[in-house]
Amino acid sequence: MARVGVFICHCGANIAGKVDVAKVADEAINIPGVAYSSHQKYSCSEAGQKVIIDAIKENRLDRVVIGSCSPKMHENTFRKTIEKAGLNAYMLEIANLREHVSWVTADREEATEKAFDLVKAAVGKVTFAKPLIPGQVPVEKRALVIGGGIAGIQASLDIASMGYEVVLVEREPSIGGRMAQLDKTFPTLDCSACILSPRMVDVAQHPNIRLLTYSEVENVNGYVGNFNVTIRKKARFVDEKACTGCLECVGKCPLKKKIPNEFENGKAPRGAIYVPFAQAVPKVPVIDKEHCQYLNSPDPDTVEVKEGEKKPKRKCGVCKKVCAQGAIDFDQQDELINEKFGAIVLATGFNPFDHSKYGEYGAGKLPDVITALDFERMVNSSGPTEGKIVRPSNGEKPKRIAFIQCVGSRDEAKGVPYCSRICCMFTAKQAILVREKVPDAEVFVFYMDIRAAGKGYEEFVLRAQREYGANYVRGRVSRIYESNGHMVLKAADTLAGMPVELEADLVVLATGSVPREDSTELANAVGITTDNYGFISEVHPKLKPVEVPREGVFACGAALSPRDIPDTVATAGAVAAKVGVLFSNDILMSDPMVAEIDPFKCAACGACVSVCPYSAITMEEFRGKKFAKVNEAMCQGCGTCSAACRPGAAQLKGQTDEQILRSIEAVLQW
Amino acid sequence: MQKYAYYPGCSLGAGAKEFDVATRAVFDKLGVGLQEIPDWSCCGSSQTHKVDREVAAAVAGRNLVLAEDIGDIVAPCTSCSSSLKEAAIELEHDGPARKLLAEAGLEYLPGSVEVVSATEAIYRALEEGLFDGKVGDQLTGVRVASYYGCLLVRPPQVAQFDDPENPVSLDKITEAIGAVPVDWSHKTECCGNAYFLTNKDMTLHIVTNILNAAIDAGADVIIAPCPLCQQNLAERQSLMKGSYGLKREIPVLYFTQLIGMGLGIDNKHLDLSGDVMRLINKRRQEVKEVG
Amino acid sequence: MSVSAQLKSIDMDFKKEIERLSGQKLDACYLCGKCTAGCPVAPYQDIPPHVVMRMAQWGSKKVLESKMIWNCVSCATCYTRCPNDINVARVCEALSQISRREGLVADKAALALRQKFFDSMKANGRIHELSIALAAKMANRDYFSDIDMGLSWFRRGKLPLSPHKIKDLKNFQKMFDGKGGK
Repeated sequence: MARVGVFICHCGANIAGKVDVAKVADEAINIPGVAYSSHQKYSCSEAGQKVIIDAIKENRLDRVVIGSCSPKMHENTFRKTIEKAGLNAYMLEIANLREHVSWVTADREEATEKAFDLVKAAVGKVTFAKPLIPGQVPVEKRALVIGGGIAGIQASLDIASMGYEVVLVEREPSIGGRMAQLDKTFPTLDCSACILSPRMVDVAQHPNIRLLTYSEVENVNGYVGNFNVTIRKKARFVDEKACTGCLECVGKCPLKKKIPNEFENGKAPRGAIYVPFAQAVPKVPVIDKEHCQYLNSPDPDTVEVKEGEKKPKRKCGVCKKVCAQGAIDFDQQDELINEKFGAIVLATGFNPFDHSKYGEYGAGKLPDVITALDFERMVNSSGPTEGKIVRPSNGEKPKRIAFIQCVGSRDEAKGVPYCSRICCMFTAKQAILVREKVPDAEVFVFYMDIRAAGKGYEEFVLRAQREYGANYVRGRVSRIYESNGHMVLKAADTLAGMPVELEADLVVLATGSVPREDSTELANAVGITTDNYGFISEVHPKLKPVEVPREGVFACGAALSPRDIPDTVATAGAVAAKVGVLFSNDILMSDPMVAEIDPFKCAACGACVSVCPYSAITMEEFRGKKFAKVNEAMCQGCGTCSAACRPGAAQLKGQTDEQILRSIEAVLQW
Repeated sequence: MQKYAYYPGCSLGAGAKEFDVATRAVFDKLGVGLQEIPDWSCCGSSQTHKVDREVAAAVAGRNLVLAEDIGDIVAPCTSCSSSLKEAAIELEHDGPARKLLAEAGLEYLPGSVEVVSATEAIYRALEEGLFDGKVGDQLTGVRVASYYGCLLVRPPQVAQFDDPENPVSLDKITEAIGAVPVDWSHKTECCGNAYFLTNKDMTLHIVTNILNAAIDAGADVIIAPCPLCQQNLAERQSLMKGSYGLKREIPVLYFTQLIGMGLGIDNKHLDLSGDVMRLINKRRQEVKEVG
Repeated sequence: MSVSAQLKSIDMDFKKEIERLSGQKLDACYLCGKCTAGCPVAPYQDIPPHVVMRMAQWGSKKVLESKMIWNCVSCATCYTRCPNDINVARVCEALSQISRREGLVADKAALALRQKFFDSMKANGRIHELSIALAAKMANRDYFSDIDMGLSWFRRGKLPLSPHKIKDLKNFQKMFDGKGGK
């Protein structure tokens, strides 16, 4: 007969304030199998744990139920506690009396009754618990970093500097990300490229970092310490080893003024063979196969020609002719790389909000209404206007510039209720840059609230207002329209309580941050979740801010939520530390609460194989009998197979059918 | 032949007579039937809901019920189409408006009729090719500013037609009848509604801004889809030329009057004033001479 | 309206009454002012729409004395663009109804206009434009302007002197259920 010990925790007043803990403990002693029952103030405290250990020893308890907070909080704590008392760590069941009872039940009697029911269920379940032994798996001490912006760069450098190998995958032709597109950075006004490009070079030169640009992660299998990853290295049509970066080819491409350059937000052209920007790393061009004339002309070797007709010739091919190194290789194919990693870091960044959703601001069709990113490129000396602030419609110097904040932020009707955190600051910076470059231009900033909570941030905004004379107007702009060559803003000054009608020459929209367009796709490939908007979900916003629910996977920067460069760099460093902790183990204990399939009950129907989201189940054959088998290292313990298995052969250890039925029975019977 | 239940609304029997005449003529020419809803009553318009929202939904709803045997409703006046659409939404659930309707012995079956504005109906006709082969060169070169006003496209939840910020349906119709649509800034700015009766100064300011925007954009003529809009924009222009700063007078037509011209309908069936005819012909002549 | 007053506490009952009549959640408003910015009539009022919203959030009855709540044209510009999906026109409408009940009407002509419209509709089943126009003008003591316009309309047959009564007036009037009286 089992000897169960029941410990009811007050959690201060958290549970005891709503649940009559003494009554629950008193009645619990009458549940069949319970040999000991008590209640105490804080079970998780050292004193509380000692009470549990002593009770186990004195009463020869062989399993334990603790009525406390969520198992997410302290299940591990209590497993260690009972282990200290000599029990197997899995002879434990938690009844969640806080999140499931006291915090959500108003009536004290009802709460007490429900608490008792949960304790009964836990006793029923733990009575049929079996000791479980964790497995051991070795750790592959190499990290994969996805995304080559400042987040991925920082994480890669930090992990590599700890002595571990890093593969950094970036889908664009160069690393650098959004930060490379910026001109100056707040609140210090140091040049973005000047502080970023040394890091980019460090990445390229670090002996522990292998850089895979123009590459994308396609598939992730495996588990913490042992991920199998497939990476597609897209055909660049340029041999990276042979290319010297002279860029002779780029200058000669006949399409060099024809294709909008993504790096310039489409506001300056590039060719079909190009490097996105001057400081690109690696400084090796790519050929964009969608536009290249050579690659889009019929191949004379495969084309069928009627008799008497000439074979068609390939178009162009100028880049190949001018390359002294013979680095152009039109026959290059996409390459699939399969590698093993112990940890994965997601640093995939963000997109600016697409302002075509704002019909009231011209939906992107008014030429003199630009986005903040357009402005960054415009004000940058290597950008499309070589740093001159001009009206795109006529190239003239603007006399009055209006900035509108919260475009695609704090706007529930447009599907973005959250604050993008960085726009107040970059707008203040841009206002300052205008007043520095065009001192006679008037600046108006339409804002709702100024959110400047950062070191030196509030002071920076005040400088924009006081030293640089930016006119801040509190009110959201209702509409922008064109009239006699001006952009007219229908606005309001809510503090003055008056409508405002302002003619501006240039309007800059502080577009908010949204996830990358394919963020949920990537999350699915990696097997993690995103929030309602598509940002990656962390395990705990405060205590596990860079961990994601799949062990061994971490995330940093704006892929998690909108954030500025300092916070991005801080989370990148945090991720590196977490990876370092993981890699300090040679061997990991695997969770023993995984599925197992009884080969004698298995009907070999294959249902479990098809439902397993982690491809952890395969069909095996032994002496002519087919049966399904679980790879315990790959199993994540989700229980889907167990639910799908009709003969009941698939069982999740620690959550067996018997345990669940007994816990239901316990609630109904006693 | 396609047929709508026709809801003229009170204005079209009085101040907006020409809108009624022209609308009927255009539908006839396009081969789309209109059958007037028997014994229709006021839609409630822009004022009733301000007194009592439930009564407003019920009085509008009465017309939906009466149209059930005929078919989908076309209402030329924007205020009417908007009120009827709003009532259809309000009557979707079992609320006080349904009870009031029941007092009159009427029951509305949600979804039984669709309400469209005349603009929507004619735009659909255009998309279905009903303009093909019917357009002459009467309007060649005439520059038209389409004024949509407020409730034709707003709020999008009710109007469910065109883009609330940058509508294009009237412009596309204008183009189809051989005229030149003018892109301008004030196509959806409100005209001031019925407040010309109580707050004239305000209305004259608002309307002057709208008219000047059309003039700045180079329009020869403005078209409007609503009696209140047309009247606010067309009347009192001489007054606006004074202290309000109207740059010049500009004709404002109901859009079906202009479509009628484009489709070659005889002017007497469109109730067009001689002044407007002369202006449009003059413009056409100028374009011909230049072209 | 006079603005001399001091806010002391939030009148929850009044707030709830506004919310019930308007169907809008007042606290959803974060006072960005986009309604004021786009409002066609705001430049001609005593207080702008976002201040109406703010005073309503306080439950301040002072708002009942404002002209703005009577002059809202229900053009839906605010509602279409509101980041929080608030129909401010409905709030103005609800406030004007309460204002009337409490005898605080700041724009008598606007009240006369809507009441005459309502009465005309109730009496005939259709409205009679001439009598509504006259009622509004009387309320404003504006007897002479637009006379030329009226005459021209009359000559063109656009101003019938007597209203058109619908056939089924008896049942039509049952829908009013004693509502909307003076």
